[in-house]
Amino acid sequence: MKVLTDIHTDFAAVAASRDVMVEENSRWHTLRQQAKAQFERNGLPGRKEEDWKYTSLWQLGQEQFKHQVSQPGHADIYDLQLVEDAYRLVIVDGRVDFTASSIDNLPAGLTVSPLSQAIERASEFLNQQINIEKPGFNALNTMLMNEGIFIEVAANSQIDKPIELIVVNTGRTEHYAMHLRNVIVMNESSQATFIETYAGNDNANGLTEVITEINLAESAELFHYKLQREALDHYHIATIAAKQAANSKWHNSNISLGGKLARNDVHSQLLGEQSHVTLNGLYLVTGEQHVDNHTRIDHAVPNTTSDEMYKGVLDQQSHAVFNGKVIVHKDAQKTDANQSNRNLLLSRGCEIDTKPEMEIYADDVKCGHGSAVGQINEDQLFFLRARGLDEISARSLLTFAFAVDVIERISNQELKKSITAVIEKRLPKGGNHE
Amino acid sequence: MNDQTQQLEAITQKEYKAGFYTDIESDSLPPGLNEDVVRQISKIKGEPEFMLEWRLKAYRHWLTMDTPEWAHVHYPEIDYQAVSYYSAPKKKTDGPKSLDEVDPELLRTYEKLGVPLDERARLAGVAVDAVFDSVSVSNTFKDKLAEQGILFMPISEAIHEHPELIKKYLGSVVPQKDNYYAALNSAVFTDGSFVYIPKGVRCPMELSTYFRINAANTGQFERTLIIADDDSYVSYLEGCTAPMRDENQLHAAVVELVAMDRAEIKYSTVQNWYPGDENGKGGIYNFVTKRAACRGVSSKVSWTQVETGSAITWKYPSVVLQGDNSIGEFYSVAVTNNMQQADTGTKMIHLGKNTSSTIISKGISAGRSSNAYRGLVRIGPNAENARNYTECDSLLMGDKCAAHTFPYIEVKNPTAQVEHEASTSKISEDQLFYCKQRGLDVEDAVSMIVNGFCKQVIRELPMEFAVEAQNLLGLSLEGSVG
Amino acid sequence: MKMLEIKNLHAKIDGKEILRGINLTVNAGEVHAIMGPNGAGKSTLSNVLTGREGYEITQGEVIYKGENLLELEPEERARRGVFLAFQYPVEIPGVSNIYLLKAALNAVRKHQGLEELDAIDFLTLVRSKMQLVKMDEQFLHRSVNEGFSGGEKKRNEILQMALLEPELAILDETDSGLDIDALRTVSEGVNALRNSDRSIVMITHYQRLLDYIVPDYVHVLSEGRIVKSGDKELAKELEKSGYSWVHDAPEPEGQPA
Repeated sequence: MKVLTDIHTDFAAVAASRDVMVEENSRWHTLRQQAKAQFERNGLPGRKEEDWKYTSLWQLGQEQFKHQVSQPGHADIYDLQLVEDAYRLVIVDGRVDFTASSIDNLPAGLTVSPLSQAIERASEFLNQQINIEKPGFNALNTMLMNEGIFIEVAANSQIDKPIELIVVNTGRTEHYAMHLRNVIVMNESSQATFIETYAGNDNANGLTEVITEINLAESAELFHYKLQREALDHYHIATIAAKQAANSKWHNSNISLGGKLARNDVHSQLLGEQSHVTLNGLYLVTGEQHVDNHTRIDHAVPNTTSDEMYKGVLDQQSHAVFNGKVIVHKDAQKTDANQSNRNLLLSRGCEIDTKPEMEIYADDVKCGHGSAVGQINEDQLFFLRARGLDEISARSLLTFAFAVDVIERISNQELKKSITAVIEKRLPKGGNHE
Repeated sequence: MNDQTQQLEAITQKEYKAGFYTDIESDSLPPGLNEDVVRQISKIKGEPEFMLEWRLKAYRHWLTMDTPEWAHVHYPEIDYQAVSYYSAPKKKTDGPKSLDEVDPELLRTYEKLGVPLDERARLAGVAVDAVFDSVSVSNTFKDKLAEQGILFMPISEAIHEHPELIKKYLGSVVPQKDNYYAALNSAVFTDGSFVYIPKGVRCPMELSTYFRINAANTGQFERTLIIADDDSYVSYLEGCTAPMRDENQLHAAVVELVAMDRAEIKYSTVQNWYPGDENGKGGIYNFVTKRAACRGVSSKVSWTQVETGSAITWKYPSVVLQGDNSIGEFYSVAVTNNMQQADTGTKMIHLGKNTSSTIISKGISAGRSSNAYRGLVRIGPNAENARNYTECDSLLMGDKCAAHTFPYIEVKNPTAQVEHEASTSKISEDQLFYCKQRGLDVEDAVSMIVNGFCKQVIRELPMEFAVEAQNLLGLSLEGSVG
Repeated sequence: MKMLEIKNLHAKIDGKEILRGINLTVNAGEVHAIMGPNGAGKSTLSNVLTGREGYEITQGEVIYKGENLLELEPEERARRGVFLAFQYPVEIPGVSNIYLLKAALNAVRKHQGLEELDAIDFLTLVRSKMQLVKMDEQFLHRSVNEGFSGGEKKRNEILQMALLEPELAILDETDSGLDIDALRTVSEGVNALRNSDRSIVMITHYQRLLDYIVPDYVHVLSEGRIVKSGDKELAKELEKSGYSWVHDAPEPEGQPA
């Protein structure tokens, strides 16, 4: 394995201090020990590793991350919440802010709690969807995670309000690193909406490293939205992995706006017939931002469907990576899989690397993918200017029009409105299109 | 298994037709590879010193390299010491001066292959350079072409006769250190074709080379170099076969194309190396590096390939688009059956302004085979207004085969327009029933549908090759193509 | 002369019985219309007659010109003169229409012991037939049915029928998806092909088609049986009163996979 040898933060020492959190010989403890051994062997992946070909972790490796807060931070979450009425958990600088959270009046059938308070139940589901041997952060996260959200929805329960997780890095502690684990358990025929927001003050320059594990039992359905809007000097590394039983549905939207380096690994395993996954993604990057989305869908049994649409807008010197993998396993007949990745390049200096892959081991399938790289259509631009719009507004409008179908796929109207507002603020004010 | 699957299997299990072995005495080097072998090869060829140095440099670098492991193919490790790096039909004289002097066994071989080596060839307007195992045995029409200043000869001859061109161009597109197999080829290549088309000349006939591996335990390492000078045009055809043998045989060729200002090279391949039997025993390992440089402005290179043979195919005919307004094209049909594995595709590297490329790839997998498209489209930061269109379709025949798509798209210029579409399908029962209801038997129906699927590629082939390609696909399709 | 004789035909798809004892005799030169509501078994009947996979014949027999039709492969039936004009003509990308036509015609001729037509004779023949359905020659060079409008697809079916000159033509919902002009063109094509040696079985939901191609006999199919037979007046009756009287609760028809 090709590894990054130059890592300045002593993660292993941090792990030792976190061992006290869990009981010795518990499942969680065992997983930590395994992960530690694995991380010591493999560290972080280098660019020779196919999954990290276009994303260098060298700079991240150079950082001296801190794992203790020097001063407790405070966040005004009112500006960050995307829906008004929700069951909400707020994590600020790695700790749950109970005053800002609202998890006291949960309806029957719903459990929402900080991970640190649900260790016993959560540990049954830990590391079920991820493999610590995979080159990346799975081992690191397993050995360091100490907070996150635990959600369990009982069989046949439909949750009336969205469940919202807000994670803030206030920047009060320089280079502050959070390692979070979210565990979502959707029992038979349950239904819920989960919104996660990652944000921070403009001066935050730390690391948010998070894994979300989702278990969808038969006929369960989860509407899942992730908005990442951290500071431009922040690192964000996330894995979202779901296992889906028969007839289950997972609708995931993944919006990346912030961060110096943001990496998402989104993985669905369709293990039961008639299960379905939708993966929507939108990334808007500018300055010297680097965003990397890796998605993987495993069609493991017959009669499963997937629909994937990722779109990106790249401005200034930004760099985006998309790697979408669809695997149709042997005998997974009647698979219907569709994937698309489209990119809009706004200025000189930006770079997109896209790799839509398919591996197919069954013949009676309908699989297609498309990817495209292009720019704002000059005819449309001229048309808008001829109708009186100034060039900057016209470009901004056309950029929004490009992104809009990802937003259109958000089914919660209130959420759609607030996400639209967030995106509009981030629209490039016209590129330097020489 | 349903009826359709069974029928498809029956159709896809046809025997290899070019699998005869020719009984000709040959001179071979004993198996094994070291510096002495490289020196021996150079000596047998009577090469000038600069070539020996060139080879040794490649060999020494090869020793430091690892076999590439990223391709989606699996095979046991190759013992490079068990391969013989030189085999030539024994010369009775100093080489044939006319067809009468060519070993009749050899001629019969070409007849069986359908190579138009004799008078029919001239009528068909085809000049043939035939490479048998490692050396060129015959080269027709050399004189006629020479009248126009066209050089078409074995590369071993070109090394003697035109060292200035060899020094200038050999390794200029595929450097010795390019990859593991290219380095190996650079060290041990024994023959291949050399073509030079002078300025302003349109080559009056298709140039063609047939390659055949005959001797056992022999690797074939041919090297082809084609240079099209300003405002010239050439269409070059390449065909390949090998006898059926239980052992795997290695074929590691390098093809370099150079197109200068406004020059155009059309390179067509019908590759039918022995694929091994239905259990995966034997067959050629086809590890080939083919690359073209569109050096000049408005130059154009078009690769067309129909790949039906080989146990393993590892091949990415590529175009480096250096000249402004240059054009690269890649049209490919890759068929895998039984236990065959193919990892093939192309690289289009856009460096110049207003460059454009088209990639049409059709993969057909049957039996227990695996067929992967792997492609790279790279738009460099200075490649203003670059365009690429890629279409890559897979057809699966049977539920035990596999089809993969691995496209890499890297864009560093905001004026680029790149589009990639891929699909996977099987022959639908509706299509088959429709054809049967019109009276076609299932074999003809499948053949017709498969050829329809490949039409965009087949129509790029020169006429006589198109016919051969269709026959190779096991299909009778007169009329549906074109 | 008896062209087609269906006796007590029962057929299942996915274990579900769709045809439940069909009896029908068609003589040479006759035009029969088989009408019925959705789910009556109309498409199943045309699929069983032409040999599509996926149907299980549990009882009964089908005799075509003295031969047991059910024992023959689809292409053998076709070569003996059984033609199906598809309700949904299939698209075959990359295969030109003219190639399919030529391959189909030569398959029939070969079966009849005739020489294959050369390119010039074939083209002359096709051109003459194309006038019948008012098709432009450009259709010959397009891929089979790919990008054709609904009307073009149906005209292409009738062109194939005209060329192959079947003895038994089964028209499956040929009027579906056609506007009135296209319907007229297609019907004129079919009418021109009526003669004393050729039988036509039209399968249709609506009476509309029968205004243009007037049948000798009309049969009403319901729940897998012919429940009523008559002349063309029966169709008019159906038009007025609908199908509700033939059964109360239609069961859904199994579609072939």
